[in-house]
Amino acid sequence: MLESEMVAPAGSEFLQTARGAWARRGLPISLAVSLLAIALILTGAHFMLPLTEPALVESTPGQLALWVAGRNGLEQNSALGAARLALGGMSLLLAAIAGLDLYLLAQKGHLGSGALLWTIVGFDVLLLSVPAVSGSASYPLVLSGLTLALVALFLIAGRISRTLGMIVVISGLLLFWEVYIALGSATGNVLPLTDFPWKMPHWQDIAEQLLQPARRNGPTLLVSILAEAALFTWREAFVGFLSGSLLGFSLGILFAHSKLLERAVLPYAIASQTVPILAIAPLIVSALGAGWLPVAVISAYLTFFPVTINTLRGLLSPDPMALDLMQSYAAPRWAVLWKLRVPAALPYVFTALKVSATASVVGAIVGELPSSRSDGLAAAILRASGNYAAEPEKLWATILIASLLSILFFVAMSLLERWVMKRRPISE
Amino acid sequence: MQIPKSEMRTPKPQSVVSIQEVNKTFNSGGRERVSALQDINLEVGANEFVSLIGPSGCGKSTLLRLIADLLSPTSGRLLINGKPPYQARLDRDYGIVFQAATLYEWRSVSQNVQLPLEIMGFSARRRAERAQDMLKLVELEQFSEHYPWQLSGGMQQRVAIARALAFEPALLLMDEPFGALDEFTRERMNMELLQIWGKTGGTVIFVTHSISEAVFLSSRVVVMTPRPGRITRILDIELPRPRSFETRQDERFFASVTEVRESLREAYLG
Repeated sequence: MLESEMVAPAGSEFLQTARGAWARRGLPISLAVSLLAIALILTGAHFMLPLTEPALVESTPGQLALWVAGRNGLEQNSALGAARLALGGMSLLLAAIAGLDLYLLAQKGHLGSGALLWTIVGFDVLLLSVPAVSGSASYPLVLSGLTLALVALFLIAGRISRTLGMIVVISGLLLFWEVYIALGSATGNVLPLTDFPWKMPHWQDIAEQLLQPARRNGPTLLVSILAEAALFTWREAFVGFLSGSLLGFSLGILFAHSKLLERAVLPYAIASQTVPILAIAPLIVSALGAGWLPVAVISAYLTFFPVTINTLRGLLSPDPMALDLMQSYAAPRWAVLWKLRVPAALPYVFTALKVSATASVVGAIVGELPSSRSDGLAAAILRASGNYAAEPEKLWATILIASLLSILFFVAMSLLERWVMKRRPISE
Repeated sequence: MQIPKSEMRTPKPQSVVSIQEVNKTFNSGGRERVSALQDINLEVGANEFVSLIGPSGCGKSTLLRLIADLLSPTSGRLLINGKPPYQARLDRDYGIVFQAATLYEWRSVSQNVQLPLEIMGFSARRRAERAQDMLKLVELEQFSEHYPWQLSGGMQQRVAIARALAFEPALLLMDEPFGALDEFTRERMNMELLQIWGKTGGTVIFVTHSISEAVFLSSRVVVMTPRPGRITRILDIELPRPRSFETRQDERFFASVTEVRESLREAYLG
């Protein structure tokens, strides 16, 4: 009978409920307890580090403290003491967050994504601070803590915000990177990029390198040198981005109004993008001479095309009725353009601007290579990659700063977009 | 039924819209030519409310677009206020409301109403005043700073009417303006349209496929049939004005509705 088929045996139902309760409560609680335990062990270990221990001296706060002490003529031991306090404080904070997780879990029966987000961030910070190669067991503990926190995130209820998604991806990549290195050394460095001279550095080494003088005992940290180089490159990229976007926008308007021009010129605009930029960059440099101009031109060259295509699409996007309305007012062309087509095109244009913002940075870096500009990111990348075998961290640090520059430019465009479009319906 | 021959002569001086022997064929050069309108003759006088009704494909919207000069006839003659449609459009002789409200989403309600005024070069102060008056007319003055996506479909269509009337055209063209609304909203909008019309006056040409809507609103109903689009009958609606919700219970209302339905059916059966 149908009814008897639908009733599941009582035993399996009980099992299911038990398993459900375990997944809902037991598993998150044991995960949170493990997280708390790990954080507490880390706290104890860090507070009890002797001042000569490599785990303290080679840690990111330790190295930074020693640099500060060296610059200001302070005593080394008190600097290392401060670093130990910082390291211990970080772990203590992490333990507090993990404890809060557990408390919330016990109180409400479930864990929000917000508390867990901070746990993950805490482990990320420790991952960037704790040296991988040292006497203590901190590093494996941090890795397992991060793994646990990421696993726990999949089991909890709660809104997944954009920030959380970003943090999860970054943390996942960090974890994957470090586990890959560990796997590499466990298998005798047969995996690609795990052996000299192309060895992947630990992320703590990269972070530490950023907070070290660029040259031995030099006055400025690598991070500020790279930031200056990034600013230098960004100025070139920005000029290229502005002129490229303006050119692209104008071309879009031109093409939208003249079918002939669109048919005649657009194919060449497309063709221009199939020419390898690396091949023509030296030509542009020798034609325009050294300086920022050829760099900006190359940057504009990569910028204009997406803006052209998207502007054209956007200008043609208004529906026929909206255009009929304009025709019924006997609206002149300028009115149709500025009161209908351009406002309707703005979402498309901003999509292109966001793409172009990052492309313009790439263009500027590519343009700097043949024009031998020594203050930009290209030169920094060249220097660092020439010395990769000795200091692999420097290249990765430079890559990190270069991508941060692109990301910041992208984010700036997103904010501008949000500000301009704040009156429009949310399309997401 | 045939059109009385007397209507096919030169336009009467008071005609706002005069349509004589108009044909419209789409794709006339190509192989798949579609005859959308055939031998259309129609005179619309000042302050008339005329509905064009018929099943889809009968060319009623096409006819409206010919009047609006959004399309050109293949043959025949149209005169708007005694002028060719092109000139009438340049002179901004008419306002138009489409089936969709077609509000620009980046403009506030008030800015949408001001759009035609901006194009016609009104001063900012006059624009704001007119928009305020128009929104009062459609009873949306408290929504002037809202954005279209914050309004319901019926409210959006009222904004569209306010926009069409903003520059005080003597002729209002409406292309199934309430077609996308539900029955209740549509009946309320009909009532409101008549109230607005009562205040502003002028000529209205109204395209619809709802028989009761056409009868309720109009002084004359023009019945059209498809393939090819033709006018089969023009009915006078003898209902007293002002019309109200009670009008829909009136015996004469039912009689007119039946009459329109009969002529549509007659035409369909050939």
